[in-house]
Amino acid sequence: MLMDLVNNLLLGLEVALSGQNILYCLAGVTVGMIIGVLPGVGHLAAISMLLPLTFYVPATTALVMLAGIYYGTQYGGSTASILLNIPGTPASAVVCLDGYPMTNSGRAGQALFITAVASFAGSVFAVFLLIFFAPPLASVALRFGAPEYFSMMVLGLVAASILVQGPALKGIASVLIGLILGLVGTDVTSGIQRFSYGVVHVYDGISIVALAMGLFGITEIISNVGRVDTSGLKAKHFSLRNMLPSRQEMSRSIKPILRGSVLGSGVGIMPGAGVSIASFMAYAVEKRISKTPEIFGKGAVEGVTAPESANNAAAQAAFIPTLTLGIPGDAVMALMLGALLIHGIAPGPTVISETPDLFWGLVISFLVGNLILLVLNIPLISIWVRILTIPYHLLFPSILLFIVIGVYCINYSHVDVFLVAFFGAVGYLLYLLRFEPAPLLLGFILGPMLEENFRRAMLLSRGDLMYLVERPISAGFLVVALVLVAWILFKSFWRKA
Amino acid sequence: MSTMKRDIVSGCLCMMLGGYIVFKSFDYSMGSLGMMGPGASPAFLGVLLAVVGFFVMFIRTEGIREEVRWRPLAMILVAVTVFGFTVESLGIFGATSLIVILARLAESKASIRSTLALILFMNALVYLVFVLGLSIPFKLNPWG
Repeated sequence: MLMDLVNNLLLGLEVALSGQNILYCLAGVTVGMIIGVLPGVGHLAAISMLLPLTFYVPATTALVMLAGIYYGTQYGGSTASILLNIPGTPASAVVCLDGYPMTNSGRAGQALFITAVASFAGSVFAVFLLIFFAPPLASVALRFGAPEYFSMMVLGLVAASILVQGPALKGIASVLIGLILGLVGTDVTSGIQRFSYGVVHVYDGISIVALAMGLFGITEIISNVGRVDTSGLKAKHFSLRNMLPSRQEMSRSIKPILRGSVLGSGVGIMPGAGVSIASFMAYAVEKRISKTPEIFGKGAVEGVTAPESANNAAAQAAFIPTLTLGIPGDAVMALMLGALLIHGIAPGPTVISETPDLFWGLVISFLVGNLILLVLNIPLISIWVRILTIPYHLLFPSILLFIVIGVYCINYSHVDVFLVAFFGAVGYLLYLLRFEPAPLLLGFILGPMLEENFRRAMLLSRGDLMYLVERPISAGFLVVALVLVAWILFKSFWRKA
Repeated sequence: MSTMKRDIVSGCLCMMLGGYIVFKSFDYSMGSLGMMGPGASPAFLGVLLAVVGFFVMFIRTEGIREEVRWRPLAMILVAVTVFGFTVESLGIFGATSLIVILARLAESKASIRSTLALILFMNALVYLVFVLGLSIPFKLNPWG
């Protein structure tokens, strides 16, 4: 058992430390860092923008880079929050509360330093959880049959729609629209075309890249143009000397970092709960248990370290259900699964056993990437601050260009470019109507698998629905899903009635 | 759009989409539960979406109201579409220049000088990264 682990970690080291993977890891975390720093550019847009680029490299390398972007943004996001009171990412909004007051009282350097340390600690904690718990979880899931899979996905989708901002009913509607979009193309069982309207380009299903870029990239640009204004910012100068926090600040941060890491990991494992929820919860917990709650909001170091370690832990822990069960917790993880599918790897519990080099290489690359981020973050702080001052009106045409070139390069098809425009319009409509796009993407990815497993289960039981509840694990998932749905309905209508 | 109107519109759209999906699913065979045809899942999902849409009409989403931003909406979509139309006829440099110009028009205060600079910069970047670096077989000019 222990020997296995050592061998696996050695395998991971070998894969992660290969020249190409280190290079892509570095590229990923750097891009992530930049995206995180820039207000108005989200990590979903960034990852979908770079998804086509990863077609040219092996699956492991592709995931190493995409994952790097994801956790890199968690580091970068806090920089803009602390220095300028502008959250670079939604998850780092809570860091503004105490990070910016620290800047105002001349402690910006210390805040940035301790944030980097907290982020690193949170990530490493969750990576170790991944190392120790993912393989046993996957081997349990290996025994799952079609009914268990179906019920687990139903639970995942219900949980994803409940945890969105705004009303859960709209989250459910988003999931359903995603499931319906997932139907488009050839039906695998009968070979019949469904909802393709003679468009040859969607016979294999709607391109996930076109969908994600439209929903996240284009929509984001439309709603940000002329609004995000960073022209008034001036690059400040930082040197390492005035960044080291005092010993007292360090020792006061140890416990919040630990609590944040544990909480963040727990939230990250849950389907549907994103990194933002983790950081907000960590902040609330710290404030509640603090002996001096009155200093929160005025530059309390705990108010920076706990949420930062929490959102980084959540970002890493989200890989646990994604890589072991094939169930993505949020839209980013759905894109990761999309990348796996593109490379012909079926997501699910077999990923660890059948492609150990991918799993362990990826896990070790998380450690490598976080180390790079820790090292890069602090000495290069002046560069990150300068990046913040790139005006958005020069940035967004470039982003738009990368989006269209990226999607065009997948099949060299201009129809895919039109699809991006179409889903951009759809995404903007959903944005105006306050439908969350993340559950939609989740539904889109899981849709085909959900249908296939349900069909298989019904085939096995000759059309007996009771089969789904006769198997205890499947029944358990369904009961929890049902309770959640009941709770949604209760919450939506009880108070008004 | 007021928050009340927003949820009524949302619910109606869901019901319409759901209804349409159900209607369309009858084009495909339904099969039986033990042997589901291609029409079964869309029919079920359509019904579910319509039902959820009905309930959505009665919730009140909180949050600030959002005005439709017509200019960025139109210009960004036009820019993307024009790129799609021109990348194979004008070539990558022509399409790149056009998308940059059109995207800049999404904002009212775009200056000509910075737009020209951005066009030059993006064309150079596209040449270095995509043509030389990744050797993507773009059509380079309208004649080639």
